[in-house]
This record gives sequence, structure tokens and C-alpha cells, in this order.
Amino acid sequence: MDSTNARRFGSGLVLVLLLTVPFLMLYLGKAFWLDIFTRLVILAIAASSLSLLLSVAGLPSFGHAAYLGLGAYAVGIPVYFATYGGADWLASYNGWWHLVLTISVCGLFALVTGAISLRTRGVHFIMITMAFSQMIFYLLVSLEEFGGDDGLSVDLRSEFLGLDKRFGFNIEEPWIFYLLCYGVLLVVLFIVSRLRHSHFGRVLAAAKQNETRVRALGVNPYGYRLFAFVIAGIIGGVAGFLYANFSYFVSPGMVEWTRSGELMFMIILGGASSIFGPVVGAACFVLLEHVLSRITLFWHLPFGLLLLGVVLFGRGGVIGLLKRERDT
Amino acid sequence: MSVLRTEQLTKRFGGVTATDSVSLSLSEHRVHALIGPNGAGKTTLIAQLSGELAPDSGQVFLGDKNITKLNEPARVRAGLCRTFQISSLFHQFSVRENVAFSVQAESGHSYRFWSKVANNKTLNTRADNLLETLGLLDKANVTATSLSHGEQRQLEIAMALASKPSVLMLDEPMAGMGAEESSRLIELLKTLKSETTLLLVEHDMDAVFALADDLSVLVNGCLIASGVAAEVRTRPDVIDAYLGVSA
Repeated sequence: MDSTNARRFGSGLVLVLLLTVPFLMLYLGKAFWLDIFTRLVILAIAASSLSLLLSVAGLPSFGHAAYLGLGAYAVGIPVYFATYGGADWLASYNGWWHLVLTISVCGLFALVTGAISLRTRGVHFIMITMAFSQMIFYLLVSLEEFGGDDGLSVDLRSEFLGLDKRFGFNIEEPWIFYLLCYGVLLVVLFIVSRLRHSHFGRVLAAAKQNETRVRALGVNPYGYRLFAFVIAGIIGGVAGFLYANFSYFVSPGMVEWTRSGELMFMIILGGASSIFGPVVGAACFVLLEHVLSRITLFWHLPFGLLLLGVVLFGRGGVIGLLKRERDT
Repeated sequence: MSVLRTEQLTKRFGGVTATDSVSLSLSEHRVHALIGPNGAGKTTLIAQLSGELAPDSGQVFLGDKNITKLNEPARVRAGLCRTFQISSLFHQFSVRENVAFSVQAESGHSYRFWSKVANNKTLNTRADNLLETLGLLDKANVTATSLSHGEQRQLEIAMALASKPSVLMLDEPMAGMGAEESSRLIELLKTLKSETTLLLVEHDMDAVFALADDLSVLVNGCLIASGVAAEVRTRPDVIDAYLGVSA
């Protein structure tokens, strides 16, 4: 089996497992696995969007959780107003409206913060992206009306008018919601894959390897990076939109800097070389967290050690490890 | 007619004047060699011409256009391109991808998000033509890192040529090359004269004298001589400062 085929097989396997395992578990009466897999898929979407910056463009953005938070509050706040009254222009249960809000708010935030952050390099870039996400964190904490640091319950999931009535597409139903998230993941992976292999993606990859040369060939990478930053921010926002609908709850905790770190870990854990790396990484992360926390209360310790091991010895992440196994 | 010209170009680093009011002029379709001892400020001068460094004072003109304020990418698009003293490649790309990206950089913006760039026939064909010119076509599919040092130097030039420069600045293109590779490169550079103008920074005097139509000598940031190569190389101050008694 050559490497292209192996890769195709691996990717296909991941997608098939994500589609079958939760339903198998549901059939076996272990319904909570559907919840775990929903969370897994949403985090995989977020990690995939970050991988566009981290793996493709080589931009270590340490503030990606901000987009998850913004996307989540773009659901939480309109639903809050729709339930309790006030701010009529904003209040709505309509999912399309939530999505429009998510995309415009995250796109704008990415555009403004990206335009500033991308003028810096290396550690400065890490710190400034983190600082911007902390600004969002403290902004959300200070919003007393929306629960401050306690967060805000979302009473109902977004309604997709038209789809609900005509096709019985009711996302309050857990398995339908899971299929929705799974579908979004497929679309996101497809988009990331196309971008990665496009003219645009090659500029990002070239600038990651040797920015000096890119400039000496007449290309200023700034605009391309900013565009990638905005796309990644919007997709991250969509992940947050889904997360709010999934957990019926939004809180500033989603934006904590450790969340951004976790997303980076997922990418490193899965391996940066493949489009499926972030998906595998998110899967390992969520499943390990679940399994270890059932074994011991102090699950963070073995979890941390394991991550350390992958970073130190498994260059290329879990996918890299599998690849090496096959090569030898 | 001068295609690239500087007026009183000056750059200081602290107390060191790396470029001391240099006024240099390159004529079209000629090879202009820039020589000088180590630390004379040749690379600093190239960096100011390419736009990587901003001069403290003075002007740079490309043709009639004042490009002093243009940044590096804009200067390249205007037709002024450079190669690097230490090969500056994309190490994870294949040799073909290195050149294809350079062609892509020349052919307008890259805000194209959908089609696969690796399958773009126009880019690949032009890249392969350039690789053939440089004798690297049989290495097109290997990664840039697995090339020998001499081959990397050739790839460096192939990438610069992809920009279709009207002025090409070569920063020690022969550095570290074997005699055979050098002479092959000299032959290639001779053929380039009909398409472009070359500014050649080089320590290999055989290469300089084989190629240069014009010659400028830089010592401690000052241009001490500039003119037709055959005349400049016989001037006593030039011989004193750089060429040594034997030349």
C-alpha cells in the first residue's frame, strides 16, 4: 500500500468511524457517547480552522478560542433577548440570523486584530493574539446582563426556519444535531483542503518556509496571511455557534487562554502534515480526557505527560507515529 | 541608457558608513560587476537596491522611475530582482515547486482559492523550461534540500529568472561552486545579457573578467572606480586596493 492510498484509507476510516461509532453506541444504549462525539466533532472543526494558520501558514495564533466565544455569544445573546425581551433588532431564535452574526462579528474581529497582529513575528505574534483573546474574555466577564463569568443559558437551539418545517430537520434532536455538526466538519475539511492546495495556499506555505524569498520574488505575504486569518476566524466562529447550540450554555470560560492552548495541542497531537491531523488530534484529546477522567480524579497529570511525550518523541503527531510504524 | 541608477546613496550603521554616497549607473544589456574586499559593503548596497534596507539618504532610479520609496515586493514587480549569497530556497518544496511558485509570483495576484496549483499547466511548463535552461530538469521532483550546493545555486538563479527581471542582481552566484559548474554558469549568464541587465557581485575574478562589460570597485563603502571593465582593471588605485599586484 503506497502512502497516498494509505492516507486515503486512513482519512476514510476516520470519517466512517465518526459517522458510525456514535450511532452504534446509541443502539447499545450508551447515549452519552453521542454527546462526547458531538463535542469532538465541534472541536475538530475549530482545530481544523486553526490548522489553516498553524500548519499551513505557520502562524502560531494563541487566541483562537476568542472566535469560539464570539460565535457562541452570537447565539446566546439573541436567544436571551428573544426569551426575556429587549433589543428587538437583535433578538431572534433564527439560526440563519445567528450564523450571519457569527460570520460578521468573527470576520470583523479577525480582520482588525489580524491586521495588527500580522505586523509582528514569532513570540510577539503569539503574545498579541493571546492578548486580543483575553480582551474578549474580560469583555464577556464584564457583561453583567449576560451572566458575567457565570455565563448564560441558551434555552433553545437555533431554529433553521424552512428546513425545520419542510424536512423535519429539528436540531433539538441530538442525532440530527450530530449529523449537522458532522456535515459542517466535512464542508470545513473540504474548504481547508482546497485552500491548502490552491495558489493562495502555496503563497502561505512559501511564506512559512522563507518569507525573505517570497518578498524577493515580488509577493508581499501580508494580505494573504490576513485573508487566512479571517477565514480561520470565521470557521472558528462557526464552531462556537455549534458549541453554544450543543451545550445550551455559553460562558467566558470558552475563551480562556487554556482553551486556545488546547486547540493548538490537538493539532500537534494529531500531526500538522495532514488535513485530518486536527480531527485525529481532537478525537484523541476528547476521548483521552473522557477515559482518563473515569480512571482517576487526577487525570490531568497522565494527560499532560502523554501530551509531552507526543510533542517530544512523536514528531508529526499521532499520524506521524502511524506513518513511521508502517515505513519500518 | 541607464536602467538602474543610484544618486548619493548613503547608509550608516552606528559609526560605520556601510555605503558612502554611492552613485552607480548600470547600462542596458551589459554585465556590470561590483567587486571589493570583504566588508566593503557590497551586500549592503544590494540590500538597498532591492529594497530590503532603506538608505539614510540618496535615491534609487529604475529607468526613469524613482523607486527609493518602493518596498521590496513592489521593486521586484517593477523589474528589479535579486539572488542571494546564501541560497534562499523553499526547502520543503520540490525543485519544480520552487520555480513554479516563482513563476506564480510573477504572474499576478494569487487570490485564487479553488483550483489545484500543482496541476496548473502554465506554471509547470514555464517552470520546466527554466529548469531545462539551468540544467536541473532531471531533478524537478526532488526536494530543494536534496540538491547539491552547486545545484542549489542554479535553482537560486532559475527562481530569479522566473520574475522576468529587467535588472538582475546576482550576489556571489559562483560562491562554493566547482570549476566546471562555474564555467557552465558563466556561459549561461552570457546568454542572459540579451534579455536583461546584470549586476554581478563576485569574488571569483576569472568569472568577473570573463563576464563583466563594466566594473565598479567598492572599498569601505566608497565607490573608488566605475567604468568599462578593461579600463578600470588597469587603474593603479584599483590594483592597489583590491586586485593586488598580480592582476
